[in-house]
Amino acid sequence: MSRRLNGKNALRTAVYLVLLFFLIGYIVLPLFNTIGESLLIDGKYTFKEYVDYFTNENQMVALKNTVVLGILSVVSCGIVGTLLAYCLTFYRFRGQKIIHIILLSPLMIPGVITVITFNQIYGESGIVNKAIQLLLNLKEVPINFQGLPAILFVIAYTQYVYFYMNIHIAMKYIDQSQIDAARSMGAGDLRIFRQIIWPVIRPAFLSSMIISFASGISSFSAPNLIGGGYKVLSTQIVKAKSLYNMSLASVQVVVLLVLSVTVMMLIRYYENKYRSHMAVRPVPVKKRELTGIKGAFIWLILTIQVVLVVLPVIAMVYLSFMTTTSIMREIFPTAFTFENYTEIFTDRRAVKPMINSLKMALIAVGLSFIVAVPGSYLVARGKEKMRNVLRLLIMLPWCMPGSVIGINMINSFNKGNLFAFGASLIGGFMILPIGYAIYSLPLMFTSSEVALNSIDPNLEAASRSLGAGTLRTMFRVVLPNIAPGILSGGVLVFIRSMGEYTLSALLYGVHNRPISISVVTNMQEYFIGLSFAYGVVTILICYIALFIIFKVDEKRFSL
Amino acid sequence: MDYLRLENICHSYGESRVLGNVNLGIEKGEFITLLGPSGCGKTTILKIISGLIEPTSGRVFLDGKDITDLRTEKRNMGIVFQNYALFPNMTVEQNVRYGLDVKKTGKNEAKEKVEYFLEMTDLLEYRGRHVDELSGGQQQRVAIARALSWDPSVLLLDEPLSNLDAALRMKLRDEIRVIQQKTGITTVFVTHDQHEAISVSDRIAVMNGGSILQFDTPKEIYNNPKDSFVRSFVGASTVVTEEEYRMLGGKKAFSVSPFVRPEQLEISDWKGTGVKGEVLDVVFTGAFYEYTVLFNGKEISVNRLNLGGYDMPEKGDTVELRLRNE
Ligand SMILES: Nc1ncnc2c1ncn2[C@@H]1O[C@H](COP(=O)(O)OP(=O)(O)OP(=O)(O)O)[C@@H](O)[C@H]1O
Ligand SMILES: [Mg+2]
Repeated sequence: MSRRLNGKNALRTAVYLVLLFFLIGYIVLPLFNTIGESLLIDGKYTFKEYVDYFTNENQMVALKNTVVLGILSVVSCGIVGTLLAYCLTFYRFRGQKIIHIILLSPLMIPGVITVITFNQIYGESGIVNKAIQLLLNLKEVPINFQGLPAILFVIAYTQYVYFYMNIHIAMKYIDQSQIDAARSMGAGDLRIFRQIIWPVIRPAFLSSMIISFASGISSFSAPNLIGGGYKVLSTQIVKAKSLYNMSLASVQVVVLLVLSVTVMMLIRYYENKYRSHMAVRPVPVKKRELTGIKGAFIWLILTIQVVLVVLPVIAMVYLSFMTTTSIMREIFPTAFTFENYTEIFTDRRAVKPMINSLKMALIAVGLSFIVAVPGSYLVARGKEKMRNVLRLLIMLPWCMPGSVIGINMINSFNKGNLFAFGASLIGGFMILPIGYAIYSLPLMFTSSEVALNSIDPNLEAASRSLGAGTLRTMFRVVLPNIAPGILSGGVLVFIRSMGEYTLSALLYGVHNRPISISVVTNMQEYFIGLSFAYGVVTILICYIALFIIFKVDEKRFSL
Repeated sequence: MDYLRLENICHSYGESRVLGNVNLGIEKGEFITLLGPSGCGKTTILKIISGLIEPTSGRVFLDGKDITDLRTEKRNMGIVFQNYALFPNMTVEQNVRYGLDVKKTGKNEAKEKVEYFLEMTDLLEYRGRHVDELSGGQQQRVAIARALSWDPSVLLLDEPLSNLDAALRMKLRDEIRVIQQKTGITTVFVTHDQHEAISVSDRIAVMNGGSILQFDTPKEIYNNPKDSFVRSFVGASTVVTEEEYRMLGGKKAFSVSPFVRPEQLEISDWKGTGVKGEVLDVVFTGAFYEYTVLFNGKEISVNRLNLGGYDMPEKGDTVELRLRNE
């Protein structure tokens, strides 16, 4: 058509093609490679591996365990998270802001570190366990912190945050005037919940269910470290990979993927079926004081939760100043030392994992930024067809657990690959940051999309009408105005990448050993103090990042 | 010759057609208004003039050149958006400078210009503020200063007053007119408020349903509407028959069916010389008494200037009606 359209489209098409190149090369094809690998035996395509898999009793137990874990984590996180959100929305008490921040903080603590610390507190030789034994003069330790209950405990007290955060935000849209109206017509608490509160929080509840189920079925660090023989798909996948049985690993990846996609689609279906209508300008709910039995009960819940969240952090900081011998010999270690810290900050070999993780997390933020920001712009402002394809591809990793992404990468980049410009990435430094970036791409994309949708499209029109070209409009007007949103997305990606464990366990090599692996191996080699020092440093870095989020995106995270 | 001209412009958003064959010619330095109800396509015309959307068919000419295929950024137009669209990441001064920076204007010249327009819009003291720290009226003036600063060949204003309260609206309306006269810039102003349109424009294009029904001076539009929509949209009126019109003492010829406007009728106590009517209702609005009079089985609105007296016809009275002729 006209020249003007061609000029504008050229840039757009170029960006679109570059994005497609990377999305296909790093997300779609690797997925197909895994499917191929699962079907290919001795150069022929067959379902044999699948038949073997589904007839193997051990494997079926792991599959069943995975599903059970997914369901139970939805239930436990749902209860804990919703209850907490309810307490903080409907009741007023002192220190509410601090408690809110504490309740959000497990988001900032890498799962693998939590698991190790929990184990140190509640495990066989854990402080709490020993203390109770001593107090009650028992012959054996009272808590057996292993297996499904232990895994669930860890999941409930770390992953509830998604429920808590989403539902807490949704509850801001509950309209007090509707509640008052219902009450004046004689509605009781239950009816009010069913007819007024539930419809408002339902979307948040359903999407938290997805996240929770997904993190349940893909959880790796808890089953791996405190599972005590409770096998799940992700541990099986990593095991198969370590035995170089890539076709078995691939079959398991496909099964895990099918599982997560099915459940996501199921919940999505319900989500669409019950679209709810939000009050346009809700009157904020009247907060009640904490009084009577109900008040005491709520206090109890909040206190327990806060203790459960804070205790591991305190324990970890304390233990990081103890000598390993003292940790192992004494019930309450007292031999104070700076040694652990001097070692990780001065020994070059010990410093390396921290530097690696920092570097890789920053690269991951950069990579996901490069794909997600232009991607979200094309999705928000582009043509219908382009939009849907791009969105689908970028959001694809959302239903891929870490172990799936890991195996996909191995299957694709273990030899020279066109999309890596002929290089083989496995064993190299870049494989991990790329993996982290893929893992966090949907998160980055969503942050950027939300930010874009909240700015006025006329800003771009205004800029163009004043003579500015596409690039100037992008850099002077669009980017500065979505910066808070993408920055907070970037910080979340950074934090997730800093302590990522599953992908790391599958993909790390001598050049890019990350901090999470060091934490685990040091623990296993009985350098316990050192391991905790690593943990503390990681958490410290994450908290600094959290602080930055609060500063840049106050609206989203504030009470 | 027309400075800005739209020729046979049609536009559809997907399936739905919003503009059908719009033709419009505007002279250099003229202030014209697009007047019409919500959704009639006013913003769409502005966007086509500025190049933000491409018309489905038809051409746009500026100063004799066909600019239909020219990109927005090359058209050199100043737009004031319905919601201002000020850049929230910039200060007042940076907003106003934006177009000048794009044009790579020299430092001193840019500074001078920014100051000139900030002064003109009475914003000098706010130059360092972020735009979200301004009131609605101030924001609107920033938007105007920003649009004017880079010497646009045409100024396009999309309902710039619609978000403001009545008093401020009148004040800024007059300011816009003064600024326009000072700069002599060709201006297209969009509104759905007839008073606004009548009081500022050289010419008004009355629109409905995607077409321009009449393009004329405010006086012609008011006195001599060429279309029944124009008549009813601009000012109040009662349609009467030819015969009733003569009975009321009217002498004009009409291109549409005859009508009378409330302020053109005289109402007085029944003396037996004019035509007879019965007062159905009267509303006192301060400057006027607004009567509804039953005449010949028809309800007619009549305004009577309040001259301070108290002896007015009341509800139920029989009155005399007559057209005031020039
Ligand atoms: N991007 C779009 N896609 C589809 N339809 C649109 C779009 N923009 C406007 N329309 C429709 O086109 C018609 C004309 O819109 P336009 O914005 O030009 O009206 P307007 O006269 O400026 O109205 P208002 O006074 O309310 O601003 C409306 O019916 C509107 O719903
Ligand atoms: Mg409009």
